[in-house]
Amino acid sequence: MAAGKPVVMVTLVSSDGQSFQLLEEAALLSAMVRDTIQIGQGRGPAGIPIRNITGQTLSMVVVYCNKHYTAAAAADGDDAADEEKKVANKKQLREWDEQFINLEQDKLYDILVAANNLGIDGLVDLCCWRFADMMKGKSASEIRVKLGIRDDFTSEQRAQIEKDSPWVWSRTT
Amino acid sequence: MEPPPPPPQVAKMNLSSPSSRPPPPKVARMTLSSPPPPPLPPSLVSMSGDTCDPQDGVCDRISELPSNILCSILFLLPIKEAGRTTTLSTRWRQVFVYSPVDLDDEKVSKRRLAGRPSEITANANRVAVITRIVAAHRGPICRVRLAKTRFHGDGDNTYGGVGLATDLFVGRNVEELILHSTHSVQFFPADRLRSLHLIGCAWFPSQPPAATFSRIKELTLRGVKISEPDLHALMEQCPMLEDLTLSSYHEEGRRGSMHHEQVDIARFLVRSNSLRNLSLELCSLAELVVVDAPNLEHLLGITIPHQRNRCAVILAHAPKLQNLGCLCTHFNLLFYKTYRIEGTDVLLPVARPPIRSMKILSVRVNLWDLGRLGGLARAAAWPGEASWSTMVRRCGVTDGLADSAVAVGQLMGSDTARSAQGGVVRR
Repeated sequence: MAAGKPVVMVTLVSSDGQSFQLLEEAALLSAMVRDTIQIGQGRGPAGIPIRNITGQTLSMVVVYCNKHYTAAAAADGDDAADEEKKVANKKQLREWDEQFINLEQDKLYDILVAANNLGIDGLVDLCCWRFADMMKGKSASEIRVKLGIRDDFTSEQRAQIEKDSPWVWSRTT
Repeated sequence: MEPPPPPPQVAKMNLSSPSSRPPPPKVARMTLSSPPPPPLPPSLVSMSGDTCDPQDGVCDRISELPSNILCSILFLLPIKEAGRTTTLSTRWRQVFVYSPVDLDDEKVSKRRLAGRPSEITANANRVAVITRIVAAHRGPICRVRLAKTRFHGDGDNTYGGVGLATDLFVGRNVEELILHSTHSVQFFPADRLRSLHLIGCAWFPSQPPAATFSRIKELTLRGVKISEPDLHALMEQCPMLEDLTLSSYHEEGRRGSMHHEQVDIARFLVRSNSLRNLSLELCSLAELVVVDAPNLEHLLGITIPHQRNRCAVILAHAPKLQNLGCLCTHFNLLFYKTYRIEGTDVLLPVARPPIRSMKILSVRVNLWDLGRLGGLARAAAWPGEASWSTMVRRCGVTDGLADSAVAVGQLMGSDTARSAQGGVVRR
């Protein structure tokens, strides 16, 4: 991005009081931060309080924002139409994403909820992709065990489903 | 056996849900005002989903996620697996019905074709299944791929006139439409459509509804029988078109053998304000005239490797053209300019190429023709400031290029030359 621009930092404060400093441009990946700054708040030393997101989760989100901001800035930097390089960079970023999101489920939920509240679309999509990946190729009961989903159908409902759509019980497509 | 129907009657099921069910999760929007579920105490967080008792209800965090997120997750699954989530719990039963889906006729009915029924029965089955799915599903149908199913009223009665109703997808927010091996195409108004791929369609309707193409950005016609006037009319219907691929070839079946379709387009006049990438693989093409394409950056595939066609390329107005290829040694690249004489646009030849934006020019030559390259540079009458050096490399492509090489005119420096190699191969 423009080299002459002054470096502006913003501070995000988690629900348990930890603060994280990052480049404003990186923080702008979040729609929530964007809105806050647009109405003229959040630039002060007090920072932007992020409710309901703990420091542990927020630190991961900040890592994601920094990485994606850096990648986008680098892509903007060499505007030469070097398609090969662009494709390679994209692939690299995708690999980084996959590595980054390879987390245990509880952290994944925290990050997904945080990303949704902060309005970071890329991170929401990434988490969704990870969950879909966990569900792919599994039967309903396997998914239930894997994700801890409660089966709350009554026996009548269950019989009805079985009658209406026998195919849903089969595992293979 | 019944075809797989999507789960019906969601509302009824919810009324009879047991009292032990946890309260329905609130749908959190992307604002601060609606907080996410409170963080769990550390003792519970450490328990992984695999080991926790599903009865205690705490670990079922996925079901507490907002509906829009669950819908996004379902969209990433194959439709059948997404449909299967309706048996997880009452909450998931509601999610699928409103989630966006990706409809692919090969995936929808694969299992039913196991016994190899006749194509007439199979087609009727597919039509029935797809019709039922579309009727029962309430969410948007973002992507539709029809590889085998026919549309109703396509003028072919081999299948007893059984086919999908044309208006089935109207108003269903179709964004991407892929029609493969459909004997003929019946378009429907789709104001959100941004990508259309037609592969191996025997004919193209001469007057498709304008509402289909108004927002389209990507258009691919492979082995589609379209006439010259229809193609030009189609271009005018696509005011937002950015990527256009026209090809005489298309892959057939799983093994991917290439088929060649006779597409009679000898002359193609390009007039588009939005077009950025144009890719052509038309054996019949004899003349390509870029009349007015202010945003055209890549113009590729003019020569087909094993065809000895000679296509004349006339560039009148393409001020942003960066990448031009692949031409043959006998190429006929002409530079024209549009002049307005007595109210009509007339193309007149100009002596010097007006395109300074050009970064890559790729030319195919026979190895014994290498001597021509110097002459080629002169023939191109390139501006003096560009240094012309030649780079020749054998192409490992399997399509009979052994006797040929690809020459790349390096105009801007070594970086460009490197990417030029990629440009040639990518074609």
